[in-house]
Amino acid sequence: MFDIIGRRYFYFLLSGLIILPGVIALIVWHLRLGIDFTGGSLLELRLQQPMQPAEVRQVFEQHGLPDTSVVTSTDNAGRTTYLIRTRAIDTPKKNEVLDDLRSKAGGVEEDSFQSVGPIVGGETTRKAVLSVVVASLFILGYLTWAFRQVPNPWRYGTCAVIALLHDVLVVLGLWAIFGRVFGLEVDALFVTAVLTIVGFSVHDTIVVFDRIRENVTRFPGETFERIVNFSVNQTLDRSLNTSLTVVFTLTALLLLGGVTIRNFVLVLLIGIISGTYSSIFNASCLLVVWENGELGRLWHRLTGGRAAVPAGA
Amino acid sequence: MRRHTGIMLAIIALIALIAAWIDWPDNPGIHFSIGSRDVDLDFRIVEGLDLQGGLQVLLEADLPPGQTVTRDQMEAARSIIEQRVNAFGTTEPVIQLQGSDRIVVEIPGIKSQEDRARAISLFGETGLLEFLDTGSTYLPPGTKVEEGQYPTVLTGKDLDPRSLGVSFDQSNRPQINFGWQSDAAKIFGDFTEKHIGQHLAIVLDHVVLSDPVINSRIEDRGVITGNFTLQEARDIVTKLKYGALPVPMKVIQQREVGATLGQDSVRKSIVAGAVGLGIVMAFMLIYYRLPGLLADVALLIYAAVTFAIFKNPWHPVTLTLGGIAGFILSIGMAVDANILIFERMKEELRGGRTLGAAIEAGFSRAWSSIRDSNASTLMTCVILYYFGTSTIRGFALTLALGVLVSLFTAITVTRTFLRALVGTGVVRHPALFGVSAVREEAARPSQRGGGLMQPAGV
Repeated sequence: MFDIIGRRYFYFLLSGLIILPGVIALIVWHLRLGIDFTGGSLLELRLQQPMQPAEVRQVFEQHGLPDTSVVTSTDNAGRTTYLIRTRAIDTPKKNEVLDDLRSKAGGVEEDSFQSVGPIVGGETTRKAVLSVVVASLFILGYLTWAFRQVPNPWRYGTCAVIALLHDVLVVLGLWAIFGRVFGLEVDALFVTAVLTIVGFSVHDTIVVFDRIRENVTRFPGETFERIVNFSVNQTLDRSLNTSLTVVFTLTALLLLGGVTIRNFVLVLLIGIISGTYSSIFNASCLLVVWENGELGRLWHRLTGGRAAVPAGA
Repeated sequence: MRRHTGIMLAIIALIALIAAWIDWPDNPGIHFSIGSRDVDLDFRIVEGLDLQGGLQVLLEADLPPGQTVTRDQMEAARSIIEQRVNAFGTTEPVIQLQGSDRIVVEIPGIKSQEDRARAISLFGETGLLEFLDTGSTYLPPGTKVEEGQYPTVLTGKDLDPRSLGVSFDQSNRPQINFGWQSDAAKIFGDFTEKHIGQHLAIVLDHVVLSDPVINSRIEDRGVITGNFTLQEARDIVTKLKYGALPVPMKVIQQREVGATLGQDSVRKSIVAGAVGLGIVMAFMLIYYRLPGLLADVALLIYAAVTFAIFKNPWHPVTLTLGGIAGFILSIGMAVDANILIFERMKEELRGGRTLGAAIEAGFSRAWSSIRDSNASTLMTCVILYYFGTSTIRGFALTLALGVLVSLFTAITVTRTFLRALVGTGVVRHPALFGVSAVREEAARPSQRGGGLMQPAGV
């Protein structure tokens, strides 16, 4: 049996070290928001005769669209796709620019065009935040109800929600860094991925908590800490195996699936791994910390220490 | 007990066969008639906009601040837009109200850029036709007219929809024929009689189409000439036929997807799904041996049943890229219930239970975990569906369906298989369940970890 709970502060530290750079990146750099949130147009096209991104941008600028960015990517077949981002324009305006581009590049094949007004963008942001909050509240409520037979049932729900916020923070922080370094954007699918991670993280945590619930009634004489450690060990195989099967399918999607969902799958993959970690090493450990009253002691020591400084000075 | 298992096996086999038949790519559907009732059931995949390409537009009522739009007005606007889109002649457009002042229009399969632009102006523009008395002023075609700048004689509402059509003038330019309803014909007759020699502007959505001089009294019929192509003339007729939108709408979001991109992604996703499925099945077989093999069969049934549900003829699930991802993800999650049960079974076997008892205990004890964890996933799906856009909804729906079907296949199907095998006495050795190999491993950590408790059967 592995002594996981005994090293709880080590695992908290590890989580902190992973999250901290991301949180700093979030505060300093923010997320790179896509047009789903900010509003704007996204145009994906292929040209018969390749042009430099700067040349393409120039065409857009000539049509009164100065804030245009052009990125190219090449697929396996060697075709170059131009990803063009500009302010929200309508179809006639887009066709006007494309006609001009067509005369310069011989031919233009339009793969997709999206235009999101700024109002809709703001709503998407609100809905995204709201859905994470609502999901957390529902999970908290459901767990409190499902664990009503053990003492302090709301603690289980709260620890599960803290673990899921951990996973959300890991992904958000990483994406703030990726946004800065690789230019990865956050879109509506990203929100879906984050909510799926929320569901999976809780799914995973519940399996461990369920075993704790069972063992608490089975071994009334044992300390809570030992019961939790035993429960985590009992469910370890299952946690790892379930994550592995999901990681297998996601990796297949990442390597073989289309480009359109690649970022989405990457978010899921990172979140699922984080979710497995947090349900094994964070959620249960937090529960023990809370049940042992360690937080209160820590708080007293901290506030006591702080109070002592001005007194001594 | 044995008989019960036999019946369950038969039911499962039947479900699997039906699902496989529905999934068959060239499924002919069910077509027959009992007496006068015809039954026509087609099983096909409905591809979302991102897969087959097309156009999605979100329209919002465009009113000056302070004014609000009523439910009736929006309903009327929706039905007018629907008629206009149908006149455009595409297959299976979707026109839905969203919220209190928005309409989503999805038209799959519009290929060319010009057609998309034409479609948006056809259904998105108000289509308000006005006949304005401009007196002696001539307004050239294309002039913008402010509201209330000139007195309105009649509007498009007064036209007789059956009289509208397109014809050609002497120089073969397209023109629009119109006729008035009876009350309007009298008003128009009186007006033209009194204003001979003056201009009458014909204005569509505040832009002048033409501004002819009235030569004589015109009663019931007339033509509109202007600088439009045949296509444009036809689109104007469509707008006039189904009436003006009760409120002006503006485009606030639009998506255009080329078909090649979607088809490419579908092909890749199917390959990825097959590979993922293969790896998961191999993993289950290697790690859990016999039960793993049964779980693999259950997983195949899972995939077949879920896909068959997507193809149901009543409410087919629209397959989007997000939906496919949700489905593939659910393959990975579908075996979770099996893993929970099998791990529990191993524990019970190690605790010294007989095979039959361990199987039953494995299922019953794992149930609370399975229930609570899947309930939380389903709740997340509901929230996603409630807040989400169409891609997100597709994902949430397929994931939720997957969770529900996996509960059936991972629990009922696997349990029936195991019961059937154990009942025949073919399977006796725990090694088939991967236990003997684990036994020594289980003994080792107990020395290190302090040997807290006996694993099971306490």
